[in-house]
Amino acid sequence: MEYLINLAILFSIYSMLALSLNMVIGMSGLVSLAQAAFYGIGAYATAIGMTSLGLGFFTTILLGIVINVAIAFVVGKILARFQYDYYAIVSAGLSVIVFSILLNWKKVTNGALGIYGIGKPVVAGYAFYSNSAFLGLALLFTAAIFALYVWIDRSSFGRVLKALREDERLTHVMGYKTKYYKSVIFVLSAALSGIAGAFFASYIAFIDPTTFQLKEGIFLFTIIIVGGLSSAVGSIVGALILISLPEVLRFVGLPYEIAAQLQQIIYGALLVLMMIFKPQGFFGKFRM
Amino acid sequence: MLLHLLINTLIVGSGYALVAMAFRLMNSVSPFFNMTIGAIAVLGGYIAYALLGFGLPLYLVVIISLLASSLFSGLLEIGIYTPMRKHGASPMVLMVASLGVYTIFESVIHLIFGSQYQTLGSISTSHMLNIGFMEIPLVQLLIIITSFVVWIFLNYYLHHTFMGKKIRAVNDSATLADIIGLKNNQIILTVAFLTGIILGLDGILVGYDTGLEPTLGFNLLFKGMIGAIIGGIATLNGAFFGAMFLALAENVGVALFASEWRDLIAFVIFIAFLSLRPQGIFQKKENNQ
Repeated sequence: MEYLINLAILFSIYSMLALSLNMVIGMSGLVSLAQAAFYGIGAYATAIGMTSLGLGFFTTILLGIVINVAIAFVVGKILARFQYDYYAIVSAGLSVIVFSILLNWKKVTNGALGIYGIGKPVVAGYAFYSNSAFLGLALLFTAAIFALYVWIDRSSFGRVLKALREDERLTHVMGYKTKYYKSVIFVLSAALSGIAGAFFASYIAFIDPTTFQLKEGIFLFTIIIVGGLSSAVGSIVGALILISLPEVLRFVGLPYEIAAQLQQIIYGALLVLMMIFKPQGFFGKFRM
Repeated sequence: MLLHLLINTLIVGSGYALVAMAFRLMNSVSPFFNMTIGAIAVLGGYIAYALLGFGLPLYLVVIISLLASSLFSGLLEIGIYTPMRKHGASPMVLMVASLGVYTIFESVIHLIFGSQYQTLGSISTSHMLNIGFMEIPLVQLLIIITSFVVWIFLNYYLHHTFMGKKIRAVNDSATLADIIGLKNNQIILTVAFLTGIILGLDGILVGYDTGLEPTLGFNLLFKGMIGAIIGGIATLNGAFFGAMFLALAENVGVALFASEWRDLIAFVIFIAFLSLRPQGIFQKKENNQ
């Protein structure tokens, strides 16, 4: 049971990430590989905030959101100059830059050694030490982000995003400030992945930079490609499939080292096969 | 001190330049961000590692490794990218597919050869050359020579042979080249083979110089790609000098700050160039975006 709860917590963290990434990639057509960077910044804000600064979990979520909004605002300005594959490459570069800072700015992030002893959330004196209570809290946030996704998807704001995804110039000509829309959704998505990072840091209680490499960004991208671009349900389904895949491999009884590589091979094969046969994903609406 | 910096720039830059020229060459006929460029080099290095383990003589090892990386490069192009392009895949979709191929490749290498560093041999430490004011390892001199030879050869090949002209024609307009009766697939395959050989050379040299590890492919790719783009992706000379410029900027940055910031410097330069001067250092106008 404890094992299933552990899986469910990971699933809910990745659902938050997939939903927020799908706002940028699926809804707006901006193929960002930088999501792991914002995930990492959120996680580090919570880790540093709760250990060195002695802040509460929810305060550090806010802290992470503020930092992510500030960084995403600047990064979004840079990225706004690019489209399609150039956007993807530049965002990948930004992800490498953030990883390099997390790894080498040792005074603040403790470098490759990582940060230990990150605490659990506390609400009105009640600490979420038990995993099932933590899962409840994580699911609550996931549901909120899901609702936010659906709400944006149906709003006029979401319609403009989908319009600029299909034809940015035309949307611009029709009088919409496309740069403003792209910037807002990018900042929002960064803030939401920061929340996922906070949950991850608090749940695992130890973080180091290797979790937040470009590879993680590509993994998140794989989740929404498999699940479906521009689809809230697809984001969840994708997270469910790709989070349970390693567990299936473990049940088959492969040694850890081989299972880990086999898992990567399957992720890679999924990407290639999806690109060949169904570039919009199983539940997707946007075709790259 | 300054001379050391320049020599070191030449060594590092030559390594980047090999990948940058391969990237540029491949990109000229198969225009998308090909994430498997680095993997092709890494394959060459690892095949050489395996063959040396069997005790084959060096010249045979080099020939077989180059054939293998060249074949791998050709197979990827003909087996995956060209058919996808024929079915209307956008550069974005091709890039993601190549990302998937790279992920598979890295894990397969990991499974076969393990995650630890492997070096091909010790010529890097045992053969030192004294060039007056400093000693440089033989293999690093070989990297410089190889890169210059490849650069001169490609310049000759692209401008003075019939195949070179055809490659440039496909680069200018694949549709037009097709209309006038050039066999585009054959040209793309030739370029893929050629690129595979250049990358295989790089892989073997890197294997002797710093050693191989499964994750090396992304490193090689990104440095080469950044070099090619900041030099101006549309020309071979741009790729060559862009790679040298990248190495210089990195070395100056490392001298000013610390060596762990090398990657960060490279990517900051990359993004700065794409934002402010997307046509590269050596190109006058014509935006590639």
